[in-house]
Amino acid sequence: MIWIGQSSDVRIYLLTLGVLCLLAPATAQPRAGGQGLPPRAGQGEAPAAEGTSAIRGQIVAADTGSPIRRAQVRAASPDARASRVTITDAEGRFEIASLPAGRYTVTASKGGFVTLQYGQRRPGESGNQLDLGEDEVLDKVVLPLPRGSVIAGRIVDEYGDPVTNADVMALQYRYLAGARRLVPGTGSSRGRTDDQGSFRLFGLTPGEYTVSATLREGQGAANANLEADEPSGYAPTYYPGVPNISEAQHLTLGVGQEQTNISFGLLLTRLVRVSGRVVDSRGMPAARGAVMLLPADTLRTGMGGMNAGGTAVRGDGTFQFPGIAPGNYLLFVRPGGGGGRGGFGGALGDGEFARLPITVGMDDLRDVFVATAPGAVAQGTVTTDTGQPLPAQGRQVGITAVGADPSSPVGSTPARMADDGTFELRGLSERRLIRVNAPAGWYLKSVLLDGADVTDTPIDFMPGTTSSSLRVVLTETTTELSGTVIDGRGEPVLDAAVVVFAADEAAWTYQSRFIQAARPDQDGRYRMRNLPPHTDYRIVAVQGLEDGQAGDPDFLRSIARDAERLTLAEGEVKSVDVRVPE
Amino acid sequence: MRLRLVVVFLASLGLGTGSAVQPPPPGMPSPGPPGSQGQATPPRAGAPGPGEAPATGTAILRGIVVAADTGEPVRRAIVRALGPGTSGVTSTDAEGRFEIRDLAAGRYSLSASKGGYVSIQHGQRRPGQSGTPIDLRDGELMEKIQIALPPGSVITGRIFDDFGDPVSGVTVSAMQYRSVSGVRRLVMAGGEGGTARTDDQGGFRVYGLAPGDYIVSASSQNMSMMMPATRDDTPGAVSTYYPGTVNPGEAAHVRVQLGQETAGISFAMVIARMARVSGRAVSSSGEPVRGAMVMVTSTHGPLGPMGARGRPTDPDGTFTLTNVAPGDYMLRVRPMAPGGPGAEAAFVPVSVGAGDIEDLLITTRTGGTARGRIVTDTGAAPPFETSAVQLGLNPLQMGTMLMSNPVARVEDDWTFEVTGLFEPRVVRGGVRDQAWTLKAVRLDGRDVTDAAIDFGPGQTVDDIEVVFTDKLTSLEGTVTDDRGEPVVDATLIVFPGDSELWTPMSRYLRTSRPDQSGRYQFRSLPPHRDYRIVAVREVADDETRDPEFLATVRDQALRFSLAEGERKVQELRLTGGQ
Repeated sequence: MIWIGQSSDVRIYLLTLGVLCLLAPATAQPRAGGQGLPPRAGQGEAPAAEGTSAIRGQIVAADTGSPIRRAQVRAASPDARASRVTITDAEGRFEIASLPAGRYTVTASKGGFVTLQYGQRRPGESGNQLDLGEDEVLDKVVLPLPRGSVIAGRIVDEYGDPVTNADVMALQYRYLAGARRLVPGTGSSRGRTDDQGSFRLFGLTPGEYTVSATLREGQGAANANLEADEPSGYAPTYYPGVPNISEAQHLTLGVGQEQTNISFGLLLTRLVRVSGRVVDSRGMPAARGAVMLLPADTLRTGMGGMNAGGTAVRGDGTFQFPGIAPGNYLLFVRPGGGGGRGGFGGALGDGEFARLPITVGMDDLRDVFVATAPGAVAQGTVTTDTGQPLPAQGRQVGITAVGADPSSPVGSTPARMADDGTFELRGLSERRLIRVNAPAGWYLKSVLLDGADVTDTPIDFMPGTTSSSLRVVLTETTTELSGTVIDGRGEPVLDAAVVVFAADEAAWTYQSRFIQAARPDQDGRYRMRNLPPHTDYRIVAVQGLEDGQAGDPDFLRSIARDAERLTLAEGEVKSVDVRVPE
Repeated sequence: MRLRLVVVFLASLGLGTGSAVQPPPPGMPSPGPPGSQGQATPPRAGAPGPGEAPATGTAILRGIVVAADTGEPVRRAIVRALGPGTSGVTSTDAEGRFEIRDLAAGRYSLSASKGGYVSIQHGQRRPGQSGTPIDLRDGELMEKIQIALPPGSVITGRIFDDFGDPVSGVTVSAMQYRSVSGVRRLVMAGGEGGTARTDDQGGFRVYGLAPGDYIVSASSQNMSMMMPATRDDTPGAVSTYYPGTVNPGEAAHVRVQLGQETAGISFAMVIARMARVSGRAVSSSGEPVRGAMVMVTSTHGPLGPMGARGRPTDPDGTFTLTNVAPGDYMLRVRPMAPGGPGAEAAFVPVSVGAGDIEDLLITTRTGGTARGRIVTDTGAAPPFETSAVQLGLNPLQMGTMLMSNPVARVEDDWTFEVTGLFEPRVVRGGVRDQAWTLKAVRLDGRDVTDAAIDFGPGQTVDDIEVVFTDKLTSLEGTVTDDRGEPVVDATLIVFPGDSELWTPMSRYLRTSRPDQSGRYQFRSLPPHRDYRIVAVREVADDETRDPEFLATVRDQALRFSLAEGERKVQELRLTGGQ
């Protein structure tokens, strides 16, 4: 059934998995933006590119059709480097003017409603883009927002007493890094219990949910005067009170439905102390670092931000977690000091770091020994394919080394290109892909290491090494693939998505450049840019595509049957209409 | 005056209450060098004393946590003991009992917390006060410690917009005025339950508050710096205070009683068009400043949930900040990445009214450099490691640091160099885990220990001599009452007789509380001829550094002197009526 749903926030997860946001201490939440209040727009943003076009429309409630005032409306076009926010007036109307031409995504949000993209019909999918020409006014852009669903209840302990400050999440399966994973749903899907143990998660899209409750480290501590096997704290627990996700009971929420009796008790477990010490590569105690424990499960399930605890390394290099539940974890050590203001999110820079898997059992874990190593350094230059230098105004080039392994999150520390075209990436580890934030009109053509093309081949960075032969090649010419999505009668279809993927399964890697999905605009036209030139692509239209689903190899196999062949030559601008399969 | 302003909680139950100053969780690095006295936070009992190395020991603390109103045991309360370089944490069992073991000898502050209750230190009697330190000897078992948790108070209400619709995702905080580095500012006062976000019905619940008067603030949280500008005529949501004003001075106080819920604190956020601040930043050589961060931070306003938000300058040095609420700010331009010694920055006070501010021209300048060396007062080579020295150049007022606080690193030849200094700094230092303390800071033959060193643009201040000594003073004794009984419920204040030295960063000003036996101690006070000491009851820690307050107690205080290396024992009597 077509339902008007929500999606865009899943994209945020795709990005954050590659960035060490997973390790940010879990505080509050919402990705759904300033819910209904006019944005403070942060002090500090200057208008982006200006133009002469405008988008006008209205935000209404999907069930009643009545206008929604003070809804936040955003129009964003990455191509045109434009992003504007406004709020609806008393009649729910909005106008975003002075926009440059481009393809825009329009999103509307208001507290209590589901955040929606224009043209979006189902949870988890993108909407239709609006193709805005020069001097054009697009009118009657109406977004019907469905009422958000609510999950509320109480978390108690084994005595029935309320548990305060427990982290409660409503989790849904979404596509993330090429697989279906359990992630916090969209909307205010994450909350903390208050002094009565109560929580309220709202603005949720309809669907199936798993509810989890966790009391974070620091809230429970090993009790010294207990018998060895007596429990002393709480383990992450899933509604209706089970320790494993597989046993959890799913809640099914309809549109605007409230389930307010979702109460359950936290499971007791023995918390143990985990302590040890950290030395750096010289054998000296690594003072002022930060240590973090991430449940090993998180990486598979994608539950961002679910860390079991973070603590600081003491002056003598030792650290201690006072209360950790038994389980498998990944222990991360990051350098402190200087930019370590946030500890876990700061740039790695010159610091040393370490990661190792540990298993916590029923006994205190002492003497965990961790040796940090310096990150690798990669130096290189940015050139253009023609050999001409980049124009003066195009000098804001950012280079990042994103993690290539979705099950192993790493920080991606960006570097800026210097005026002479050189750059230096520091603090690298694990397997990475080099990616570029190029100025408008420029695209990544290739990445070369010692002359070898590593654009799509992860580079393994060994600690302490320095490589100085990276070359990033930018080009102004890129492929452009566009066309109309049509039905059997040749009429444009809006409710579909076009997926283009390389036929060779070997190219179906994490963050592959050889896979793209796009939805048509208001006229049924789709557009994809910067697909690498390739002789063996497949192209197909599908319906109900969820965000991130195109990264799932199983899904690609299932649609390959109906797909047509496609080749793209270097710099080719091609027009291909795609028919929706019956 | 404040000394007489006593709100006595639970006097009949004889139990302590008040909102706690939470000791940092165990494992966190101790805040700042031990010698630095600039913080207005209460001196922690059990701060690293001279000669005490951090280690585990054999002392044990045992006790029980009860609810202050019912006397019933509180299970699963978190109990922390914070001591000299060590700490222990545990949770209470089903009978409310706790035990913390393996503690080294020393002075500990003990605190307990549980959701729904006011976090409290053992022996704390009122908000903003430290607790009674517990002095432990090696192998000592101290039992029957009782900590009474007062039930937390609650404020509930709903936040609306100017149409009367509920607003979700608004951050609501319970705030109070506190003295921060000698300046009274509005700060978040509620502990972890003191801040909440509104739900889809605009409702919020703030809990765990100590009884008292609060100002309730609502601010809409908005997000990432990637948010674009709104149009000129789009209004923004301004931080609003109950019952609906943007001026904290006009806010109504919400009074909460012990353990009670004050409901109905509902109000509408003010939504108004705010100002745009724009201009251009150039470097000292006239070049446009590219890619630097421009931001404004409030100078006198509340230290609240709104952080400073900024935007990078464009390649031609221009910048625009939008949606700036009226008020006084410090506008800063600083490089995005930590720069070297040549990094330039600018700090300009800006007063924003209703109208836009355009065409600001900001010129950045290089920061100053401080260079110097560490010496001992005898001139002999220091017997400790360079890595043990904690040297900081602190600004005069905490919370207004214009650049990140450069903590100096001491080189192998005992010299140091700190760059990027943009405002006057006071040199503070200590030696970790050693019986050495800062004696003096000298510059060009002048003693600048208690004076701030100013830095002109790009100026290097050379030859700063930081002198450490191992001739530590010690002041201790017992506080007794008229009947000779030890007094535990008092706060001791040591301060110089000369009111010129009553500055927020003064090294001569200290407070402490007697331990469970009425014994007090002050370690490493600077030698001085004219000290006063007084014991007072019922005073909050931040009040004790207030010159107005000190003036009232100066005459009744006992006068004494401390010579270098002197170990003095001073018994004190707390007479009735004090």
